Amino acid sequence: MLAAQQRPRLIDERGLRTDGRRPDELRPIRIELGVLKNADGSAIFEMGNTKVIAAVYGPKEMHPRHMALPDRTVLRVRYHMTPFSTDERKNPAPSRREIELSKVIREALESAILTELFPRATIDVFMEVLQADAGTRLVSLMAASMALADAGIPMRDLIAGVAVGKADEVLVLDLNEAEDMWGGADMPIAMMPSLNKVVLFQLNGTMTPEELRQALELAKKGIAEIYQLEKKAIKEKFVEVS
Amino acid sequence: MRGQSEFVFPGDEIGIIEELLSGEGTYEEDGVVRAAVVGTTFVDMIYRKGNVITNRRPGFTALKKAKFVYFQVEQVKEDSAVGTIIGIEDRPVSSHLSAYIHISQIVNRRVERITDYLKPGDVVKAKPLGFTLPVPLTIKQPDLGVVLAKCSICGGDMVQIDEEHLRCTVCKNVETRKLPEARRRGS
Repeated sequence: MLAAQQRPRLIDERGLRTDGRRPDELRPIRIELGVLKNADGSAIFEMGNTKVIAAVYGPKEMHPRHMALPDRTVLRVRYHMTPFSTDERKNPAPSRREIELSKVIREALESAILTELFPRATIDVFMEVLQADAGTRLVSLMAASMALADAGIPMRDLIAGVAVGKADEVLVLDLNEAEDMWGGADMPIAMMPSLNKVVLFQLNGTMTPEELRQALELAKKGIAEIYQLEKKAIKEKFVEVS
Repeated sequence: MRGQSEFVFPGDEIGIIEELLSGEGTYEEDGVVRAAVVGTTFVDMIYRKGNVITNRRPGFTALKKAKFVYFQVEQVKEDSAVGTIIGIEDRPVSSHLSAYIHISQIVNRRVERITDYLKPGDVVKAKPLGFTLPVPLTIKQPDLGVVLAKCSICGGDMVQIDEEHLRCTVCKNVETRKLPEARRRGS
């Protein structure tokens, strides 16, 4: 384990990354909808070695009732990492990081879901990270978005997101674990592509204004690609049913 | 503007507000009518509405196409009977769903006391009037009313003796209820 702690070369002499990808290449993506019987909607979203399962319940009546809002639905979102998702066992109790990510994901979903259609109700969204390898917040958000589409909950748009970072001063799309840990910056972005609106934007590390502009363009390209894959996965599921 | 029966995803444009209003399964933003759910388009040219048809009805939205629900009375107030929906058509409801029947939605005549028609514990076949929480219900129609009742004195099973009376099988107590009209013979 200690040997792995030494900083590896992130970009080799051929310009390829540690997993053999080009700087603007995404990891392989697999999306499957309707994987759980008991949930109103569910999905598994895999991006490289990151795997997340999401389940949606509702809209249903809010309990306790005084927590309900008179004009819109309350979203209750839980992002959680399973103890076996990391290389060393993770304590299953919700950590500060998980609580914060739940909030960030909830706010992103709130801007997508038409919450005003179901006043005094609640929608529960659960996400379990099955395997973590960088980018779990975005994969969780996209898994939740797919589960919501599977449930048939009205939304403004599907959500697609990708991280852009710096590895050895090169802008790279869709970071893996090594690039996340050793790279110069990590900027996850999620968007509603049809509406051209950003729903999640964070930045760890530093970037120059020019780098940020380039990173945004790179992210948009990746998001457009993911959006098409999401649509394909939904179509497969819905055509199979009808 | 989209054609009929096209497969669309949330966010896909259906039309612009000058040509269509936002109908079922759609929303309007910045003058553009877009799909809100995955489904097929139905452009209603009579009412000029863009709709997206889906067969997914999560949570209590299953009420939207329900012809009737089963409702259990929990409390009878002065102007309404409140309780829980226990089944949507013949499917049980997984989570708690509160509903009420207003005094004006029981029968087509003046109602002195709701307890002459409904009592706590009764299971009622009713029809939803809306989809807000708590759900408003009606039992005015002839085919709607109490389908299961217990004696208010001893808790015994009740059997129907005429159009609006029930008799307890244990203590022979006779009570009144709003009962669904007996089905015609042969149906």
